[in-house]
Amino acid sequence: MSDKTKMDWSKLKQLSSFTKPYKYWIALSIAATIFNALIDVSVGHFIKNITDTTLSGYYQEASRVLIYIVLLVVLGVLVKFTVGYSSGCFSSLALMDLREKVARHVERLPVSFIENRHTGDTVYRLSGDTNAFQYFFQGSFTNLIYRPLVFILAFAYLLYTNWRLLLLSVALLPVTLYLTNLVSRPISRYSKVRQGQYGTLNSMVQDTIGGIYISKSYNLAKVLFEKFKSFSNEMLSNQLKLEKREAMLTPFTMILRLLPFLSCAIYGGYLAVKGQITPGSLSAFLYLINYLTEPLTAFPGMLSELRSTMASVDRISDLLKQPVERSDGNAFARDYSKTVIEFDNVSFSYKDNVRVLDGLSFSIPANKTIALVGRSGCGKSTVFKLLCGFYETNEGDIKLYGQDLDEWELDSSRLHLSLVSQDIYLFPGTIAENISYGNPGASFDEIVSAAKAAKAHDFIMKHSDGYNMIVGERGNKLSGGQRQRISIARAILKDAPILLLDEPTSALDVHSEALVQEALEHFKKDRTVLVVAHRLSTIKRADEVLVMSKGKIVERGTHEALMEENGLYKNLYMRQFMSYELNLNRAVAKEGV
Amino acid sequence: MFKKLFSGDFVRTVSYLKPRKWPYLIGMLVFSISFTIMPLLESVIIKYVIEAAVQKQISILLTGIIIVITTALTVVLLVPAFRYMYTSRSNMTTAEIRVSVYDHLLKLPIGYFEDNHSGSIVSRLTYDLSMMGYLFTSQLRRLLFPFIYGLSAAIPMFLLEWRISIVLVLLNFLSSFVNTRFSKPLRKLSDKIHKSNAVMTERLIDMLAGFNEAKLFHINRIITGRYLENNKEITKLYIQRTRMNALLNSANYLLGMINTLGVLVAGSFIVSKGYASFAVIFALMSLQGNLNRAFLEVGIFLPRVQSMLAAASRVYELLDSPPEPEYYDVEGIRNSKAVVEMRNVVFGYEGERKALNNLSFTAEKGQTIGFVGPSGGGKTTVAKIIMGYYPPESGSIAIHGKPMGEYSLSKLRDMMSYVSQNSYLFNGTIEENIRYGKPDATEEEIINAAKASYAHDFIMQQPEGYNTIVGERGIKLSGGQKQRLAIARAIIKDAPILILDEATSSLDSESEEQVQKAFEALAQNKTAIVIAHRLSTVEHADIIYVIDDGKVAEQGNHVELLALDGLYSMLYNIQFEKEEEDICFSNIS
Repeated sequence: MSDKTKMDWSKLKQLSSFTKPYKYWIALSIAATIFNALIDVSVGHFIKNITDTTLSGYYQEASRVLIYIVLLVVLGVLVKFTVGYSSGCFSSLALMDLREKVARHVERLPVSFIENRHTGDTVYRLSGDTNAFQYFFQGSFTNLIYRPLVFILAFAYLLYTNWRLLLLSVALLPVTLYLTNLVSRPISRYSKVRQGQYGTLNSMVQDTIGGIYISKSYNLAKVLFEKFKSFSNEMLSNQLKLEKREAMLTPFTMILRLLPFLSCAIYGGYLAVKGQITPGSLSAFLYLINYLTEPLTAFPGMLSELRSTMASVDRISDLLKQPVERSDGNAFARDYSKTVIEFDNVSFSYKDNVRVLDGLSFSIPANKTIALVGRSGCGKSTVFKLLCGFYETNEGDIKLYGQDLDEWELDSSRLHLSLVSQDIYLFPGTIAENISYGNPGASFDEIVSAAKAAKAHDFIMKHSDGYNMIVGERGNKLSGGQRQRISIARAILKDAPILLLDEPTSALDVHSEALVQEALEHFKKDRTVLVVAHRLSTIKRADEVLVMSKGKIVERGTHEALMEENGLYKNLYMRQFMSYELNLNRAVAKEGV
Repeated sequence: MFKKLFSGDFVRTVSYLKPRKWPYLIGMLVFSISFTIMPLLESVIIKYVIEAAVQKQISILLTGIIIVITTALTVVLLVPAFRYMYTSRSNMTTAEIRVSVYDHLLKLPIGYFEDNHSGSIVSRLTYDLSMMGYLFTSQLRRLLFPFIYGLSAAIPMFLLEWRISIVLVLLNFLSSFVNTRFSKPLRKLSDKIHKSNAVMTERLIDMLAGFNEAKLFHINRIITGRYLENNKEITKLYIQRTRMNALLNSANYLLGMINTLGVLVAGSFIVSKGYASFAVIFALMSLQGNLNRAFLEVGIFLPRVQSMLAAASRVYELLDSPPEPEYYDVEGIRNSKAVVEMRNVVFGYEGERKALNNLSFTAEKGQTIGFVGPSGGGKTTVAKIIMGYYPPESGSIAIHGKPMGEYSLSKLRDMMSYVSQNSYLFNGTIEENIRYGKPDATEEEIINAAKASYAHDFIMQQPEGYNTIVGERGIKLSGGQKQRLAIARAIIKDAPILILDEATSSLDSESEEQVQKAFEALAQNKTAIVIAHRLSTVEHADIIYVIDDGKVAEQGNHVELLALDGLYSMLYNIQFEKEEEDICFSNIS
């Protein structure tokens, strides 16, 4: 499968660019590694010398060599420290930069991308996968230089010393290497699968935590457990396949290590017996032969590590490749003379076929409150999403203050919009922080004013921590109504000219609702408001009503006008009206009308 | 240092191996031994070779060759099976632990999830667990390994030349000492890094969960900024750790070289004076390399084990969190004939004022009772108590006449269908989500439930119909659609007690009306508790309880409550004022 495809060096190169700012560190690291290799191999040479000289009784000579060795070792200590420290440093710094870049990139991605991916997967790319990247640069990178270098140097030295011995020692290596590679190939495939499985594991656990209420109330523990268990078994079976391969690989690695040594020892011993090499040379050979075999035995491991790093690199690149939200456009000023919002024959679908909006056209003048009515799923929230620039239209134009939304800079267009949706998200943090997100530079007094206006101040003050109360993840420490009011306070603080409301008081009791409506009424003055309404009371307060059905506007007008039309609106109205019949009669009787 | 090793966490972790201990131990033992033998063979061969070289005798060489080759072949043939025996058991154990932690997770009380960020819980099941796994797959071996390795090197060494050997062993203890001095600060650093990692994951999750909001309020910089701050912090820690590790490695190198060369030099000197053969010296050199490695392994082993144990302790924190009990100790009510009856229940979330303050209500069989009142007044909390999410602090609750304490929590929940205002959907297909209401439901039952909740039509409009993936948290569906699926889920469960918590408030009026009808049909012969903000939802209830400040302020049916001219009446009038406008208009038109 994919282990057959060539490794995509270009992707690694792309990510390696993160190490560029630290090129001095890298140079240092490389230089130190080279020295490291030189020193390690030189030790072999000196071993030969010292052995021969000592054995022969040339003590003076030997002590000179000893001094060299000591110097070499001291140098070696410094060099090894440098290698370790410099590679650790630059890889950590490069990782920091990479994460920063990826995070900033993700920040700028369009909503449409994020909504189609599971959080767990994206989180893993930023954590697990980037970690793999760092791990590679910290260790494997220098090894990629060190091991071949040491191999070459040792090979050269030994070749020079006694080429016959060397050749015999390495004779059987190519075959062994080939076999090793053969056995180890599927390993990278299993590694890649494992990587993906970790992402899924993340998502599964996240999902379970999110749905714990449902899990308990429907006694789903057993069902969910079975699901997880079966997935865990899948993971295990993949891992076992991997282990089997690794186990099969072990004898090969052992042979790879032993064979050259053995051949060297045997033939070398033979030569020494014949007096054709000195014991010193033989010692050096036996010492240095490991520098030949070690890189080779480490090779399959390095290869598979490289492959799994590539898999991680792939996933990170994939994320970085995603086009960001456009940042072009102009920061237009609010133009009071123009229509505030205009939809012109807009068509849109999330996926290829299902058209959520189909030739939608309407316009909203300044300082009016327009209610958007229709059955659930007819596209109302989608209208908001398009206005906020979270998705782009397939056909048609949206104009904001007379300018095409495409021409607007998104940051700028959003400045003019405040959204209070039904699915309220609060960041884990304090109440004050959450409200302040409407306008990060706001003073505490302004925050309190906004909270008061949203009728949230009272319940906030009831808590011992007040505005410093932590709302918990997704605001789970507050009730639905409380969350809604914080969300409204946030919108109030933002003070944007256009207000988008999605049944903002649905989670409130009648009393609070009345209060909040009052506050919103006050707030709605001199603002343009588009409100998605289910409730008659909301609709009644609007200047105009737009009735949506199947992605189009089918009726529009004031409430009275629509009632006369005898169409869909009247239908909807009458149905709801019917249920109030009893109350109506009662009220009529009460009022004496 | 070794005390830490045998601390509770270590023993606990290792005890997971119990069911597989024999294959694991045997596999690990044989594997470790074979790993040891190979380098030993090298030493053996060195001795024979050099001796043959010095004495110029081929026969010695031949003996050496035979020994080595036969041993090597045996090992090579045995190793794969034993290695697999050992690694497979490690992996199985890790998988087992993972599954049991997940199992425990499902049993934890709601309070745990409300108090802990999902990120930290997730990392326990993923990252921390993997770290624990490493203990089995690589680290335990390193505990045994050095001993075998060390002994297999030390014994021959002493046999060959005990004087030099003593010095060498002492030198090795020195290097071990150096290593352990580093282990404590290294472990502390690793812990800090790990904590920082966990926080980073949380910040990441926040970034993604609040993605739309961050864009809309243009606060990306702030939210992402938090993550990046962490990023910088952790990098500093990484660099600190790198420096320490580099220092340690250099020190080890130095000590190692001292040993190796020390042997060589001193040894050569001895040989030149004729006190020992060169073969012995060279063999010693090779063996001492092994001994050194053995001591080094211990040095590496300790800090690693410590950080793995730190990970393990986080997992244990989760495992040791008390699960929901099977039963809550709740008293019953004598002679209770109701389906659900509460008397004088008091309950407060930790550190907060009481959410329920002597609350009492009764729901008789077949009745529909309504809870209304100001938001935050305690209505949803009542539902949570009935569902057994939290135990009441005091008071009595009877279900079907029996004390609530006599029902296991799962039996309790089996009897109830709960639909809240913002229902959660699992990542999966529409069909799967409805099926969660009744796992063994037939396809027909699922479709019927969908029809009853007026979801069938929109489902059929989706390109994949019932197999449509709803996305994380059901993000691919509209609010109303999600709600209708949640309602279908409740319908298919068909439990005798229905609890609806503003279940229709996010629906448009037409859907709401239809679903309302579906509920009414469903509620026949069931006992329904409807929590509502809008009075119109509960107007036809048999009894309405007005809950304010954790108490029942008023109760009665709609007519009676209006007559009381109290809180209910006031709420009603407010709502009604809105509808009065309707009346005025309709009269005009």
